[in-house]
Amino acid sequence: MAESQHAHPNYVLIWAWLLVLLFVSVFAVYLPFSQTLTVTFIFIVAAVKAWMVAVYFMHLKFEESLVRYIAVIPVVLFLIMLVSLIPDIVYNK
Amino acid sequence: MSKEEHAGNGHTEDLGFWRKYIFSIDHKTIGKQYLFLSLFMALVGGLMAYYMRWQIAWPETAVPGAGWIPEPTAYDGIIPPEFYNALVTMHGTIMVFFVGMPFLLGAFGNFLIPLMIGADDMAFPRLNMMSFWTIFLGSLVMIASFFFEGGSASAGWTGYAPLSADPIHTGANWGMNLWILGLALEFTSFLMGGVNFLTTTVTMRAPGLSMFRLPLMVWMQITAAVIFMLSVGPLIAGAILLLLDRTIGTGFFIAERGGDPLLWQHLFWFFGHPEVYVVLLPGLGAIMEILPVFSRKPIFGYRTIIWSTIVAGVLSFIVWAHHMFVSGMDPRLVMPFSITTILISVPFAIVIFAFMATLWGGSLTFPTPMLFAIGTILTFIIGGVTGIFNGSAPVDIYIHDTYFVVSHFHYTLFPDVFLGGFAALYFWFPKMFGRMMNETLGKIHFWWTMIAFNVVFIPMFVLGLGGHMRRIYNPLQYDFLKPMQEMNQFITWAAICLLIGQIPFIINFFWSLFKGKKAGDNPWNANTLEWAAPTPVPHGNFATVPSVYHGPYEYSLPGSETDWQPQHLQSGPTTSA
Repeated sequence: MAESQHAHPNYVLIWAWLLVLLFVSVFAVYLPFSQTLTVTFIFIVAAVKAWMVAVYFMHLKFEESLVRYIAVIPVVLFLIMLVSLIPDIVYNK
Repeated sequence: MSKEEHAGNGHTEDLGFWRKYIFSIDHKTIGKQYLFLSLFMALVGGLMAYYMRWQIAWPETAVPGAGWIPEPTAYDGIIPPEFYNALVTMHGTIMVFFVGMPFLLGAFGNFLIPLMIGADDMAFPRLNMMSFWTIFLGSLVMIASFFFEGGSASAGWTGYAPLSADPIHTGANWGMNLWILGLALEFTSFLMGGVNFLTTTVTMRAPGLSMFRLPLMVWMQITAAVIFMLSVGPLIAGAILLLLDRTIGTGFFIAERGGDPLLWQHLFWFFGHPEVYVVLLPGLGAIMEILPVFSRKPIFGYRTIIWSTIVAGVLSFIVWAHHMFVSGMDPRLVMPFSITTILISVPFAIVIFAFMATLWGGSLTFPTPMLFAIGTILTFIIGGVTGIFNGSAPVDIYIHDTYFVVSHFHYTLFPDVFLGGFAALYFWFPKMFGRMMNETLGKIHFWWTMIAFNVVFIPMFVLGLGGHMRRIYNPLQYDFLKPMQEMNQFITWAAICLLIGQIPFIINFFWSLFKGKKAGDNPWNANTLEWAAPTPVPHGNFATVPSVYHGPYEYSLPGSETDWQPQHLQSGPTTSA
């Protein structure tokens, strides 16, 4: 199996960005927004962090398209789980 | 003998004792390490079952042989309620995660995958070693949890919140934390193993060995690995949330802090249901190898079996809420999950029919592995059919949390892990250790186990239908259970018989290890590649990389001189890939 030729990303820089985003999401609660807006914001930040981990740390950016398609499967499963949880978590207050 | 020749690239290595037997990177040694670990943990789990069953049959009397357990865990052999809860929890946890998985995936997956695909080792041998030592550490953590104040985890093997989320409910504090840690180590171990199984199978197959010429055991192992990898994430996340609830005062699963205990059940079963197929498929895979060999017939419906198990794997992700019909979950979820649960029995029914069609008209012989294989099918059918009862919500509402469910569960996983696992062990023992196991002791072991197992669990269905709840400490506290107490005692005697029935196996295993009849390279005249390797298999497995010309199950081909056609021999009529 040939070693794939690609430049390695600057892992430390990515990690620093992840830390920055972590602090952003932790201190977002002090921003003068409504609760819905704050929670939405935190989830968007979390999604960006997950995307960065997948793309850089898990090397999806440097893989063939097949590998990227495979990485979609858990996302689909995650969405199925999320939708199934809505009746229990959202409506059953 | 520590001088080892790596046949694949011809260099000679002199490994010391530690590198060769303890911190080995050879997939065969690692497989055997998993085997010994799982058999040891099976003894621990079996002992727990005995203590538990004694307490149910003769509540609050001294358990013979439990006098050694110090206070306050037990009092002169009398088991207090806290220890009983811990026994229920740890019996389940150990048997599923530290016996089922290391036995079927760890031992046979590691030992067989490289041999069956004609490779010299796993793709990542060091990762493989790490996966074993990680689960070893996990086992130590699990056993160590008994020695902490408050005892080990006692919230059931499913660790339901709120019992698991706050020490005030069960009294187990560090025990429960260590339970989470031990499971995390176990999951990490099998993630590393799964990556290895998949990469090895995809990249290291011998020339000519297309995916549809792979032995079904390899297919089942990699399907299980994929299911495990896709399902374990939510539970790892859930376990971290649970640990935070327990340690720093968050409230993800605690209602009075704004959390939802049901969320834990969703996260647990999103993993938990696929997990039973993770354990199930490799056990069935072993049966799929054994049936054609002792029927001298090709397996019936090779591709159908593969696609059926993949369909079952996909469906396994959308059935989880059938464990939660009476949990207070939103009733709108009940019907969809009931339907998917009943649907998932279809692919498994197809597999079972393929097994029967393989046997039909074959030249059957019945050495010990074949007996265990047929025993697996017989008992697993009962487990599968009672699963349809549980999956139908109206029936489940009545039998949920009774012994009916306990019995159903044992009818699915006991045949798979123990009968299927023993079938595999008797079948591949010659390849693993270079000696045959004793047939007479093997047959005694089979009949004893088979009869005792059914005598334990058929009455348990009756108890369940009678309304006998699972996990209760003392049935005599309830008047309506008192008439069933004699049946409880009968089950306990049968369970003791089942445990005693393993003594012939233990004797056979160790006797055969040192004194068994020397085995040839291919004692069963089987086709697959592992039998083409010399016995005992040297480091590096094959002298030269084998080429594959046939499918794995070409027995009794018309026009062939012998009734078997090894995959690596070019002679005989070749078939398409």
